[in-house]
Amino acid sequence: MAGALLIGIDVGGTFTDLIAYRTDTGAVSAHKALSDRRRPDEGVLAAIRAAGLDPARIGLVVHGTTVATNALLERRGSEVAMVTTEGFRDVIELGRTTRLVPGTLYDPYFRKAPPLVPRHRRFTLAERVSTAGEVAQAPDPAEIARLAVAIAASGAEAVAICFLNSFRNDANEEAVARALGGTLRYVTTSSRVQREIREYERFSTTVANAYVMPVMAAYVERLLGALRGGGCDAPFYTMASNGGLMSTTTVAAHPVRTMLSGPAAGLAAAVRFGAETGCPDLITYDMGGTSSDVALISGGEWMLRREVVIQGMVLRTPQIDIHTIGAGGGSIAEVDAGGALLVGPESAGSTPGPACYGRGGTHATVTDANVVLGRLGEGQTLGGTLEIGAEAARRAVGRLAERLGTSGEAMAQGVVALAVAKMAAAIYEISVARGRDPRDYALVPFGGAGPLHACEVAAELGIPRVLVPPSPGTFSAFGALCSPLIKDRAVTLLAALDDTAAARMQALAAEFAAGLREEFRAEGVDTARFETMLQLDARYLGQAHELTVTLPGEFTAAAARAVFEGAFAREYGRLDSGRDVEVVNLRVIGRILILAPAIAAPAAQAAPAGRRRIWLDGAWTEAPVHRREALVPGIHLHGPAIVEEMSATLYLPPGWSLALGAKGELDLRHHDVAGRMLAAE
Amino acid sequence: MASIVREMRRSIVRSSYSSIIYEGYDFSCVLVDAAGRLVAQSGEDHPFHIIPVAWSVKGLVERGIEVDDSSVFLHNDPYTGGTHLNDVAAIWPVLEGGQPILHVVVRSHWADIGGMSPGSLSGGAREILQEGLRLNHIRVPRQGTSDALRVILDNIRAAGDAASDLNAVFGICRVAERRVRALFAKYGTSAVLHAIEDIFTASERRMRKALEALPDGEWTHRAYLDGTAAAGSPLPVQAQLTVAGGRARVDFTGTAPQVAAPLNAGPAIGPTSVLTILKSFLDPGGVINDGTLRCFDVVVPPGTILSATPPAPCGGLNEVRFAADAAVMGALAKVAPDRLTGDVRGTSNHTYIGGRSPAGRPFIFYEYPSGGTGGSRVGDGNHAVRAFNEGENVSIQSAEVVEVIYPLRILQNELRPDSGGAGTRRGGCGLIRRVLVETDEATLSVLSDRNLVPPGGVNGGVSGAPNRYEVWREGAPLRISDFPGKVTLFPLRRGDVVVMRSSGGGGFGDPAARDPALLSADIADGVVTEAGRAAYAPPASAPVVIARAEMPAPHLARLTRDLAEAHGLQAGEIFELLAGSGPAMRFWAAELVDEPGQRLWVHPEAALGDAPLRLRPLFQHVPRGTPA
Repeated sequence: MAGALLIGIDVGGTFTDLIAYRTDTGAVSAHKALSDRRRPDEGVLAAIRAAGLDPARIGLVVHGTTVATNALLERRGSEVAMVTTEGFRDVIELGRTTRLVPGTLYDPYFRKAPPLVPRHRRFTLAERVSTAGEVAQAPDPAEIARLAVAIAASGAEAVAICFLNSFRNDANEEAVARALGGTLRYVTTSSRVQREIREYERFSTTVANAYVMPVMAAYVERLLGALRGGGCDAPFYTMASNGGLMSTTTVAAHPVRTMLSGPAAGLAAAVRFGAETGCPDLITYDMGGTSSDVALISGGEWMLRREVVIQGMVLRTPQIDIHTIGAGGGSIAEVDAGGALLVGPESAGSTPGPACYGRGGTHATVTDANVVLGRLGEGQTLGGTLEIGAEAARRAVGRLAERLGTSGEAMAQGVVALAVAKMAAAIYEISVARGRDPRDYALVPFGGAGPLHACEVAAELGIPRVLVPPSPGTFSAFGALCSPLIKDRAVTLLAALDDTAAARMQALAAEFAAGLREEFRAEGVDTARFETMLQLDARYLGQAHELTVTLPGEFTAAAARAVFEGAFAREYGRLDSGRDVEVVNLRVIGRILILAPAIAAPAAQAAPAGRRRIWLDGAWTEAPVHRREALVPGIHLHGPAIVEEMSATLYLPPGWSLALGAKGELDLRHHDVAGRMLAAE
Repeated sequence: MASIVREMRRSIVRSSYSSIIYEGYDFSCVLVDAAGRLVAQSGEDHPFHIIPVAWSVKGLVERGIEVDDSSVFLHNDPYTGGTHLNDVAAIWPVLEGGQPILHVVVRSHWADIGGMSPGSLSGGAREILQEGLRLNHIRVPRQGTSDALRVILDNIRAAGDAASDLNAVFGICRVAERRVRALFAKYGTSAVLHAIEDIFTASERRMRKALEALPDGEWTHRAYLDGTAAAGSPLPVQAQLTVAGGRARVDFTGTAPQVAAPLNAGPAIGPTSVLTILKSFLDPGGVINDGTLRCFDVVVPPGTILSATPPAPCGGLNEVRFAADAAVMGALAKVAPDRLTGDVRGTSNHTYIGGRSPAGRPFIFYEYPSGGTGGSRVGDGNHAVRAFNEGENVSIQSAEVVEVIYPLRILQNELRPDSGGAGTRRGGCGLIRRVLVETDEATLSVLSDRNLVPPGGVNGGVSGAPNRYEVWREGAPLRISDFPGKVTLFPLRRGDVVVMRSSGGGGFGDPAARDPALLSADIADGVVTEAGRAAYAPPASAPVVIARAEMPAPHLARLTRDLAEAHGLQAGEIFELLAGSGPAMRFWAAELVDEPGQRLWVHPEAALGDAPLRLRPLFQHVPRGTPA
């Protein structure tokens, strides 16, 4: 692939970011184009055009997409019909009989989002698979035929087939899928989408999959058609929620697996960045306009979780374990009736945006507070386009300050401190609350607002080191190029962990691994670098919630138990040694690493450093302002200082030093390593 | 502080052995100060745990029990602030210089606490001794065992799981203590304690502002529990709400005397209702702590079902609490009718199937199906989901998991058509669950209310369908108890089908004013059947209501026979009067008189503020002649 261009793309709400990597020179370039929310494929093509790339030279396209996520959030998916077991028509509507929407306790006016399939398009069939996996009743072919007519008449574009106990035996689901496949293009079954016990979670995920199938298929077809038409015949992959890449075949069949496509790319970038900089233990901190995502990477591996809740719906697919909080740069600061300061979850978004954007926003936001404090400067441009108006920020923050009888600067300090406390609490929950000490990790901030708050967040948790990657604002697009192809296969076992079970698991793992390799081969992928990872969901007998652990290729029951108990002790700080361990699900993950570009520093440019007044500990202080491109190897800065670049701004507080790393990363160290929040522990 | 309790919650759910905790989320994590004042809760905790948790700590302080940092204190006694015996509070004092500075408290529902039936709760209890062990600040060690702990574990069912869960609770309290200490170390003890006072003041100010938005005045409403065969029927809960100058006073005088049936509650429950309802309707977004509570005065006369004394059984405290909620909501509906919603399920629907599997393994299956929620000005109620006053408990289990764990099979899990109260905005539907029994050694116990008196509507909206329980054997329903909803140890056989139907929510506004397109959509979805369409037709005529002081009680009415016949109503049956504004008013037809004129007489205390639009019999959902 000498001389080829590898393209990583991250389709965001406002911008579509593109990273181009030249395999011969190792040069990396970043480009941005405006996203088109209605036609996201247009944004991707525009970014490729903006980068002036020759389609014929493109060797690989990998992209993170929010097409499925937005279709679900904005309810722009397809008309879906559902076929389910008689007596279980309303499983997706009843769910767990909980609201599953935070902050709705005590809200008598709470209204549940309607299910993705209205009741009149939920059809039932007399059929049953026993819990042992035997077909107790096969569906009557005449009934299926009648159903096919009714579904066609209902106007449905896609159908989700969801039968009880199909995780044990998919024969009935497959029989109906075959019959309906003749008349409907989009057919999905619960055992294909998520073959694990618990009907609500499985059905809900399957229905969501059907809901976004036609939208995703149309998007991929248009995009791929345009690329091919332009002379680009490079392999095309999509980021999955679990941090792996999916072929277009898999994306078309399982679009529900792209719900965290964008954030997953950010984590993939962080893993790569950690490997390059020799720092495998990282906490990522991606702060955008309306929300922030934090995640933990240990030993170069991100954590996975099994489900996410969107609008009160459970989607159970393996996904990166990110913790999202509703506070970002655009989060609005407010004072409630009792006089308490609040930051978020209300956000000014990008339109009208923070007051300092000068687009009509009047609410004081976290970004405005940073402007008041001088951390973001008058006239500075954000993302290369938005110019900051300091006066508007001061007015907005001043109004809030008046209500609390304080100065604008003190108010701004309070707003930033509260935002920082929220970030620190979020990181606390993914680290300390899960038995990990954040002080053993380096904080990696990215997104437009991450580097601005990173040092203070780190100090709050006693994290002594912050690593700012090159071009933090387009880090996720870079991540799309760093990910392996991933496929997985799982089975529900529900057996005591003994030597018989261990032997059976290893046999199944071998069988699954061979199957996954074959699937890759069928898609035309070179499987020379195929590797597998074995995951086990296990619990003490009698518990209902499992822990997911990674097992080596060969293991005894005792060894597997030891792995489980190690994880259990870390999570809960105790053991129940007297109890048997139960294995619930076994999952084999097959991975193939395609190619990962090296991280390289952008070429240094001469740019003058300036100075700016910043508010520090109750007084104005002059601080140097540097352009990141102008930093040269060997440079050593001490806070307070500001470092600006096109996509982000870094605030280096007193007590912190900055050095330029070999890969272009900014290596920030805190000299008061004790930390405050954890001092007593 | 709030993030400490959130972390506690998460850890408990994930490591628990009891389905009521890991699936039901029936527990709360709270921080209480040295004086027993509520400092922080996670925001997801069950409303009915929160005030009782603070009372439990207050009791510990007031008793003057010496605390140390190697002990935990268990409390579940309803008469001194507990809820029902199954809810055991573990109070973990955090000491500084030998004195408690805060208490970490976890209140969790134990699957069993002893007593006469598996799961401990049943409608048949006559005294609290039948409901299990009373624990009044019983000292147990943080590590290891003790005599007291052995007594407890030797006298409950599923003791192994309880011991494991208690171990998990202690582990989580230990982590919470570490975090509390870290906070105190970071900011200094006195700074944190001062900050807590500031938080209280801010919360008080916020709640006071919400109350100031109401006009000053006094409003009274009565809600009714079904009662039981032993205790009689119905049982009123009366709330007189007085709002003056940013404070609210609720006087529950007029509530039924305590009964020898599990429909009693302890003294912490009235204040809990007042907090839940006023906060939910006036300021749902605010946090809850001691400051919020300072705006309320609550009067609960001892010896009533809302402040029972020993040995009145309190298993159904939630049934009483929901009636108190309904009474406070009704009073509020008279001053702020547009803000109100139709009523919700109004019971816990405790449903236990316990026994042994064919292989001889003991089991307790416990569910408490949620009902529909009320319609409101913003739209229709939700189908079978936890309501605003019910926490976030998962009330039904996965059918696939049930089949693996229990000798039971779920045959149906669906919405219950026509159960949502008709209204301009319809109440949400309840659910129907049919459970096939696959063992010969099992019993059914149910503690449910609102099987006779359904969740009411508001502003002309109609009641939802009541909760209902049945057992079917060989194609016919059986008589499972002498009073609907109160079942104790009914013997089940292989092949029996237990049917649970949960209530629908009350409607909001006149059903005849419902948008025809919404009604058509409901019919297309099968949420309303063709037969159910009748509830949306305008009434033929409005009854003439006359207030008469000689009526013996506020819930009794005298009707002319022509009026009763026009509605198919017989003597002794229950009906409701719906007005264009305010809550549905319920009456029992005490007497039929042979006079013409379609009139009825009611007690002046029960007179409606607004002219009634419609009379509606309430027995329709419980057809006569069908065994309960």
